Amino acid sequence: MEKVIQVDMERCVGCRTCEAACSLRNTGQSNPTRSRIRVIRYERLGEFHDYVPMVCQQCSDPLCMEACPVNAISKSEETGALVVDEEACVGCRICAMACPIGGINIDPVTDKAMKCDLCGGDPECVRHCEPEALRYVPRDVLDLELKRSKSQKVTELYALMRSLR
Amino acid sequence: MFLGARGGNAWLFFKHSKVNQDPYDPDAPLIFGAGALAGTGLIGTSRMEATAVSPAKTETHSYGNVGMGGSWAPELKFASYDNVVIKGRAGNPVYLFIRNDDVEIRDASGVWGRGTFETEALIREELDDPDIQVASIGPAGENLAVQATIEQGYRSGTPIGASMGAKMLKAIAVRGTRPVSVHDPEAILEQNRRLIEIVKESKRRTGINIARDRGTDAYLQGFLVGDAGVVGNYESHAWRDRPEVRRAYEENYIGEHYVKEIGCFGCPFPCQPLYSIPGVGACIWRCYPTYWPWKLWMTDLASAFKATRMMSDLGMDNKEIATIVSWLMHLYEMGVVDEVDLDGVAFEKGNPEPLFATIRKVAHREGFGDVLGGGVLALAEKLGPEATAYLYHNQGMTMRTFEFRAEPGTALGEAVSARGNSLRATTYHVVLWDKPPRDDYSGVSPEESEASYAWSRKMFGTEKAIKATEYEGKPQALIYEMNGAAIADSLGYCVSMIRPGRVGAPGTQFGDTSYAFAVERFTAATGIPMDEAGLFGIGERICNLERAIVVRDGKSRLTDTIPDFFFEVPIPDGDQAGRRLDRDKFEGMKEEYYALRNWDLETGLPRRSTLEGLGLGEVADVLGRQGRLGQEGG
Repeated sequence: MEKVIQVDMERCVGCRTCEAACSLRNTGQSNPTRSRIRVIRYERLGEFHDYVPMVCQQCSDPLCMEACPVNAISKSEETGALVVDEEACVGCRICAMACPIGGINIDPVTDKAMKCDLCGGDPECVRHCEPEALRYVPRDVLDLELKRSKSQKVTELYALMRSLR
Repeated sequence: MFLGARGGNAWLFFKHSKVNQDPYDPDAPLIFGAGALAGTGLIGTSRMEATAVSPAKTETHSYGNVGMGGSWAPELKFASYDNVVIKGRAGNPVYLFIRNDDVEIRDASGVWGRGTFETEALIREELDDPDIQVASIGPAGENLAVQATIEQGYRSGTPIGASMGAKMLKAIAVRGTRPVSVHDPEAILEQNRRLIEIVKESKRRTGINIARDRGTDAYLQGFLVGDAGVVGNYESHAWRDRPEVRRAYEENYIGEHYVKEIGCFGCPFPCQPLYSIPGVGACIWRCYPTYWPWKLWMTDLASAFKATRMMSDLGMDNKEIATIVSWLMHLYEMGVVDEVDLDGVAFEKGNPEPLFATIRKVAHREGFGDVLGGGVLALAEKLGPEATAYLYHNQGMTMRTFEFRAEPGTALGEAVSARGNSLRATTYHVVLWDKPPRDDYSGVSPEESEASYAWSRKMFGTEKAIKATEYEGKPQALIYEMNGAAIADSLGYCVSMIRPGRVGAPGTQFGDTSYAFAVERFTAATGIPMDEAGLFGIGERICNLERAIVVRDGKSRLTDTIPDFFFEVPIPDGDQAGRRLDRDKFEGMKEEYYALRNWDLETGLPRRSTLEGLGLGEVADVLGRQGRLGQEGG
């Protein structure tokens, strides 16, 4: 079963260790600008701090791959990751426009498309995410996990409603 | 080599500052530095340091510094800078914006007068980039209150905010989009993976693991049962042991408002617990508020939280303010002061209102807060000699909440530290209390105690060195701690990362291998060959440089002390009842400390040979010209 990076934004502490780890692994330098995963901040001191790690979800029906005019994006048979052939890529950015979640960007240094390739099956960001906001799980577990976590909210809500009654 | 933040700043301070410089002299340097390892991707290395002529040390006006975690230091590194020196004074309010090669002084009239929370939001909005990191001052700093801090994402510390206010500098906003080049990226990743494994496996609730479990909030419970805390103006230790106080504390516990932890850049072990209380707002429950409510006889933690948030927003030091309020409460109860002296505010113990009033009045320099904003000594003078007698301070800054009477090593650190008021110059992290464990935070098993003592014997020649109440071996333990802290603060290392842990024992975190670990990490990032001795040599150099700076400005053996109170009045109650410092033993510790530092025993001044041996010949020359070098020999 293919595995994907599951994001749980409620567990994210906004530390961006994933960005450092990703860039070290993929570029040999610490450089969040070139990280394949980015933590988007919604914060206001004294009010709220929400962080959303954004990373390619390796879509089953990938718009980036479809949109690419030079067929530079393909699916890895080994990991199921969508990977960019840097030789073929012309840096036209159409993939970035097509992606609905910002999962693919243009590397500011190479000027080629840059995206998460799951580190060949052992994503460095997940290994570094001690709060477990990122987990590397099989697609079918992923679905069940999400259902489970959301169901907790439903039960909490139900308990609250009952207590109010 | 001075290694980045604290050491690099100290060197720049030495080069740019003048003898006994007025903190508000436009020419006085204000220095920001990023930890040498900040931004490398190594876990727990994101600290910054700000250094200035301390406005808060109103007696001496010398070296002041503060360290903070967060994401500001890495951002500065991603913009390709290590240290920033600011001199001069703007004619109107400005802020500094650094984005890679673009450095801009911008108009700050839109944020002047606003709190630090709003300032960050408005600057991010104005520059249209939510990833900008902002270090700023609030109204307290603008109004030159000496208790004002520089604030950065709820992090702050020892007050030097007025140094920014004096320059009309509201904030420093940084944004970097460049790489931090590292020597061996795979080695860094491997070090991180190893650290994560160690933390996951370690069961002991200390250092990182306390942070990991419940953030700094866990210290709340630690201090409740521990011995380090002080109640009132050093009036009691046993108050919190009373069942009704405990009950009140439990009833007022704010745990249900806990939201989550917030991490510093590149650290997946976040220790900044975010709380959000309806009607108050959100803030981090920092470590310091875990023990100042006791000084105010407060069990109302929601009010303590509110005060913390106010101080973070207004940009002022909660330690300094809370200690001052505890002093005023003490005076009020004794009838030394009354409402008339203090603008009609009744300083009743346990009541949060006088605290709120003091915060507002100091920040905006109103009424007695205006006097206080000029320094607590100014208010003491106004209130009279009896009030002054109950004020315990070091160079004009109130005492950190340590029970110095029961901790001679910490008293020694406070006396000799360059900054004063420094957790970075205490034996706090390597002490054990010889008492039975009361819970799993402060408790140490017999095996762990024995392991700690074995470590102490190996390191310092005696197990007494890590027994809190002993004098023997303390100078050695203190130097180990001070040099280690100088290294950590310079590398940008988090305290939880480098210290052997509260108990100083092998097996607690990394045990006595923690510095070996630091060496490996340092070399992985920089490629510079290093060993533990080399690292400690750098720590020694930084401590000597800082000493030389404060000696240049007048510090000596005579002023290497703490208030007489701690020698004269015994602890009234609690586990350590009856203890007070012994003057002779204390002076003996000092001499041993000077001897180990190779300074002049008579005066505590560094010797030329010592400074030259550390590569600080230039510093020795300056001290020589001032007539501030110690005698050789002895």
